[in-house]
Amino acid sequence: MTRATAGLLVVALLLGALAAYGLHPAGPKRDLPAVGKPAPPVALEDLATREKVSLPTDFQGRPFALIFFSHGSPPSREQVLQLRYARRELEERVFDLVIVSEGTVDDLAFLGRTGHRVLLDPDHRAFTLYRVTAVPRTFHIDRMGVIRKDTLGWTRNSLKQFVETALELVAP
Amino acid sequence: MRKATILLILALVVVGATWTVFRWYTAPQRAQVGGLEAGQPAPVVTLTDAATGLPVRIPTELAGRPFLLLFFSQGCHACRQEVEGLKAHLTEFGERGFTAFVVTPGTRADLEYLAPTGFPVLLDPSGEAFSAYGVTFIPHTVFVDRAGLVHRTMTGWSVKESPGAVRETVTDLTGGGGGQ
Repeated sequence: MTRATAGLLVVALLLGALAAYGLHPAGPKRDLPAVGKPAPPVALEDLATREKVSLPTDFQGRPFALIFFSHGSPPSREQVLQLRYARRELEERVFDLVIVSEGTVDDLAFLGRTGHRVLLDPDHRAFTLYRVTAVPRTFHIDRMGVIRKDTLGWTRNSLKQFVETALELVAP
Repeated sequence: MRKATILLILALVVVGATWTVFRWYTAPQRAQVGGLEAGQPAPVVTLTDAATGLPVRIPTELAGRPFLLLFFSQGCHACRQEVEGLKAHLTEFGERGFTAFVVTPGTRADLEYLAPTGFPVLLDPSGEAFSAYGVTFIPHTVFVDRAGLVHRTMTGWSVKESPGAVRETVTDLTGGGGGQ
């Protein structure tokens, strides 16, 4: 192999790597939320206090579940209603539940009655950052702000698994 | 020069394949709850055609015609994204003998949003279809073949995330040519 051919091969490999990275659907999305990676940081307004809450930093030291909600989704409503029964127990074990809502009038009317902590995301910044393309979507996040579980969907049987995962994160 | 071109193509193929395999192994792990499996018979449900008010028995009344059911609610941003993405393919679907139905609880907001989109809308106020099709999140799309079997399901913004996949699926289901 001549030096020119070898040089050409190196350039070709570099170009190939660049093209493959750029063309691959998952390539340029460096900050995809994923299990084992830090939760993407985002600041949202708290429905009750109207104060900005920074995720995940404001929860540093406390594990929590980030639940992406839409009133229009029947499974979302089922999830939020079922979680009312687990919330007190989880909070006593130092595990927080945080609902991220699209912020429509229907969302707020419904969520306001549940007593959950609600963060508003009317312009879908958090939905976009966490790549939420279907609801409900739940991220269990540990005390270091790392995503430990990513779940799409909710059935009547999901509560047990949800609580088990939460308690695993609470355990030292 | 010819040798260089061959080397370049080979390098592209090798690196591209390696990268794809690497990304496949390191893909984010997401647990998904519920849903139907490919090959299962599509559950039989009776819904209401929003345009005529008449009952529609799915998939029985569509025997021989492939279709998709998009489970939707207007109050869900991701669902609206999916409808907007699918809308562009409606004419092509029709020409291929394929129907894209939107299944919705049928609130006033749902109907007002869907009316100008051109989709045939099936009303499911009791949640019968949502439950029978194991819909644990929305948007959720179920493709059904001519025999009434589930061909595949798709999650979230299928059209926006992978526009090719939706068209390929419809092509598979319609035999690649026009409708019957």
